[in-house]
Amino acid sequence: MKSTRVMYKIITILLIFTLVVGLSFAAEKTKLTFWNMPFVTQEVSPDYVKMWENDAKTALSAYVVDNYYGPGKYKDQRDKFLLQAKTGIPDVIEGLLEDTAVYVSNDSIEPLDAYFSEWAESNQFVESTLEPLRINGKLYGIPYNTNARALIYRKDILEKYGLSVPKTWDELIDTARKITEKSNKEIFGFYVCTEVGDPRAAQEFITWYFQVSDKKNPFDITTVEGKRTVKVVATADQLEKVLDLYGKLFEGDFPACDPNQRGTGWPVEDPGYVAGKWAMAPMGPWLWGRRTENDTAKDILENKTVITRIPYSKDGVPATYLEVKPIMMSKFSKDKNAAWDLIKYITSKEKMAQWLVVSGGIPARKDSLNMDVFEKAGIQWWMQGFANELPISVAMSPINWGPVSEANLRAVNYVIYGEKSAKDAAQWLLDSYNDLNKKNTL
Amino acid sequence: MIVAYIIIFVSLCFFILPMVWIFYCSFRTQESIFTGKIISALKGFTFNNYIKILSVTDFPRYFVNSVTISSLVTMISLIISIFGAYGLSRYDIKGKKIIIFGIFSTQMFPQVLMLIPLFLVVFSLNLMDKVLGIVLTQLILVLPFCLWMLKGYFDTIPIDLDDAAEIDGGNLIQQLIYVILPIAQPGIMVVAFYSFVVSWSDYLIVSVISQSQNTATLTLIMSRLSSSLLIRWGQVCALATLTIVPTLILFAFAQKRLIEGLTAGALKE
Amino acid sequence: MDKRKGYFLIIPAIIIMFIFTFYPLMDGIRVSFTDKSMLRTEYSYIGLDNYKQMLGDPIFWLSLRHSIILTGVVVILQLIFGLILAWTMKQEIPGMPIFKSLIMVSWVIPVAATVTIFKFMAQSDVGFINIILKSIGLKSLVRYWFGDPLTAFPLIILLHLWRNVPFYGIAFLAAMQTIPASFYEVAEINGANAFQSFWYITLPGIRNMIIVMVTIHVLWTFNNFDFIYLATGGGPINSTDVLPVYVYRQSWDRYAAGYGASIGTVMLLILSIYLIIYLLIQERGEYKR
Repeated sequence: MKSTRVMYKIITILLIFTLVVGLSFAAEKTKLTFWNMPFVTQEVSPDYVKMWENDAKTALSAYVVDNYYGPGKYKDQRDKFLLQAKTGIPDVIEGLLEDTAVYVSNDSIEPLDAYFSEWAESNQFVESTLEPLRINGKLYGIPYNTNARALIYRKDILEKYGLSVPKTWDELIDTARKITEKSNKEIFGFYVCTEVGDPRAAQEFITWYFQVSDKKNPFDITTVEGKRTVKVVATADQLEKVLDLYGKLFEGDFPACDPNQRGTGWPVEDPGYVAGKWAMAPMGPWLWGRRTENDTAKDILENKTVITRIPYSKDGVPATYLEVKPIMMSKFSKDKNAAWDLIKYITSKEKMAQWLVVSGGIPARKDSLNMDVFEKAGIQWWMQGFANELPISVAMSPINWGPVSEANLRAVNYVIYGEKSAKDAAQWLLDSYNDLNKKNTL
Repeated sequence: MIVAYIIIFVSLCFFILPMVWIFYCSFRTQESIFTGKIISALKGFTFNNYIKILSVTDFPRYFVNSVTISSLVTMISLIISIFGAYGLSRYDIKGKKIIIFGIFSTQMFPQVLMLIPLFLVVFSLNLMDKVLGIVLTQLILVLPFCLWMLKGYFDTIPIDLDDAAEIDGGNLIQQLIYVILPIAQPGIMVVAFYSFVVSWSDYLIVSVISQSQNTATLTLIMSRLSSSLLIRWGQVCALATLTIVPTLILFAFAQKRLIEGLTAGALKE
Repeated sequence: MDKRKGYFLIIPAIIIMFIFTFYPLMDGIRVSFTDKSMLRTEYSYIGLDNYKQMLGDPIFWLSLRHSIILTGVVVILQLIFGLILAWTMKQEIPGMPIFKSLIMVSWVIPVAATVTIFKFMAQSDVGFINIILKSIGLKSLVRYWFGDPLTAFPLIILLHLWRNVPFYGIAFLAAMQTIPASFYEVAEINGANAFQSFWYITLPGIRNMIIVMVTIHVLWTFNNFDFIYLATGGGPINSTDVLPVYVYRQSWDRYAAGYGASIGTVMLLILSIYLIIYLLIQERGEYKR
């Protein structure tokens, strides 16, 4: 039968194909894996990633650095690392400050004090960026980037409609609603992340919270004789204020935020702003990396955007979320010295500076900060805008934030979808905190 | 007949239009998509979405991974299920009913429940982040269907044919190759195609076992990138198109025999 | 024939199925009796505590309800539309072969791609659905269809239909083709109308195929994780929460692997009951024949 022969031919071809491919995979050098979300998501430009890879070939010639940078979403990356760290892949992982505490409690990352103290360049690191990465007295990550959240706004839009820059929550809601109304919903006044599981949404929530809690974390940690106890210090009243803000932002015929974007997160916030879909947003310096995307984005960022303090509650204090981005080492890395070499490369003076010139950000090293690349790129004003907010910024305490942030955003969703009042949602949230604490999850 | 045409028209709109739409949008610029209109001027078209996607993802690599994994799954599942189905069909095995029911019942196991233990198994076999690990694990998705389908086929082949081959001095392998396989060929086509497509589409298992570019597949990369590329819809569409097209090409070739075989086999149960 | 040879032939399949499904399943069930957390390596057995907690968990009951409604509605609609499609494809009219070859395409593409396509189609500003709505003057209906608690669940149902109805259609078509044409001729002579001949000849003729398709798809739909996880993650609020997604959320968002496993075990129990009922019915059917 003719068709039978054809089938056998196909099978043979497939077989040969797989053999050839399988053999070509045989690697020889020590292989290092680096999971790094910004390289996946184009948050830093693909051109920079290419350059970074090429330089790594010479700087780390003894190793092969995999050009696969992990799942590309902080939540997926964390989920995977928690389960699979013990496989030894990845060797090095970039993450959020919030992730560090989780990995420490899961016992999957390596304390770096011994390596760090022997590194001649360790004195270049700014102490305030190292401090949040010390848990139980040990350093668990090398910072490469720090920032504080600010409000960015479109000065051209505010001018066009004759509006002034909002300083308090009420002014923010009012100004944003006017923009929505005057542009007839072509442009929404404000954007805030509300996706459950989105890291940015969690950070924005905690920013508002720090303002009404007088810069205090919702949880108190005390360690007595090695025994760690966590206490919930947040009050229903504080949480209600924050949730009420979210409710108001999505209320009205011409709401401050687009109700169709309820439940979305940073992958909408950033491209949406540079596409001109909203006039104001809470933001950090990374947005600068988007200006290479297209001409509209470049124009909006370079000529039309101004950075200012994030609006705060009338009966609160100005405060904002302090971000420190760590590079961490897996406890299960098969070659820890190689992994440390990779970390040194990532956080070296030049590489840190170049990365942050491209993607925007404040380096965690003094010598990087002093390099003239920032001036040459003309982004000093941009960095300064966010650096101005560092004095009012607050670091999140080292607890396991995952489930807490999830609960925070569920409460937000209850409010913005009108399922619960702010008061009920606040009570629900406080109960969730206590429940999580009771189960030793924090 | 008019009713039939109306149904055909409606179902074409429903089933085909979404795919045409993303294919069409994959050639449009960001600005053109954002106009919110269906038709845009000629300058609204571009190949840039594809160029960008191909430059930021190691596309050839993931494509090769996908093809490798899917082909291996197809071949191994063919071998195992041809032998297995033949054994079930021709030999009077004790507990045959239990074996068949046991294998079929795995279809009702919730994958989410097995995810963490499955990782532990693959890890303890030292198969994490290896092509073989993914291949072996994906077999559980396809084997029950393949065995059931082929057993149905083999059951319809008269046992006299085997006996005749045996008398002619053929061993088991020869019997299979010269007697059984040619007759069961439509069924084998279906099983092969089914295995390939299921493996190609798998997201959950690959997302657990794959940890590096050695094993990441196109489907995995697509679902990951599309969540971080949101709003850059042109690129998302290009990526989706690139993932879909290989299975469509395969389908175009296999389509006719597939439909025959699929249904013929299912009826024999 | 030699029995040993038979065992030898089937054993590879059994080994693989055992290592990669039965063992992980047993382990999953075992974990459901522990307080295992994704954050710690040590854990202890806590008996039925997880199951007790489940009884008082409103989101569990909500997810269970959603899962059952989803499975029921999806399978029934697939059955109806599948039959309509099969009937259509049986008509010998020009262009039918092309139609038949096009229609299965949605079943072939990866679920992840399906979800991406529909997410794009449902966008409030650039989505195809909303562009059409705007152009026919229904601007008030425009919304992000996955982001509205009222429409997200129906849209998920639509996704399931989109993927599987063509498969039903093709399967039923082939089953219909095995029914001898003479049956219909006799019916016509006896004055049966189109509906009667469909009800009394076609349906019984494809009865086996209907049972097979429904069984497979009940299991598939009830266990399906990626559609909802990738499309909505269970949101907005809890409007699309189903059991598989809730299991995943408990294990990963709350790190409560033990509790997640107990919900997974309940899913397994529900499907076992379904399968037993199915077997009983089938056995009775065979006995009758």
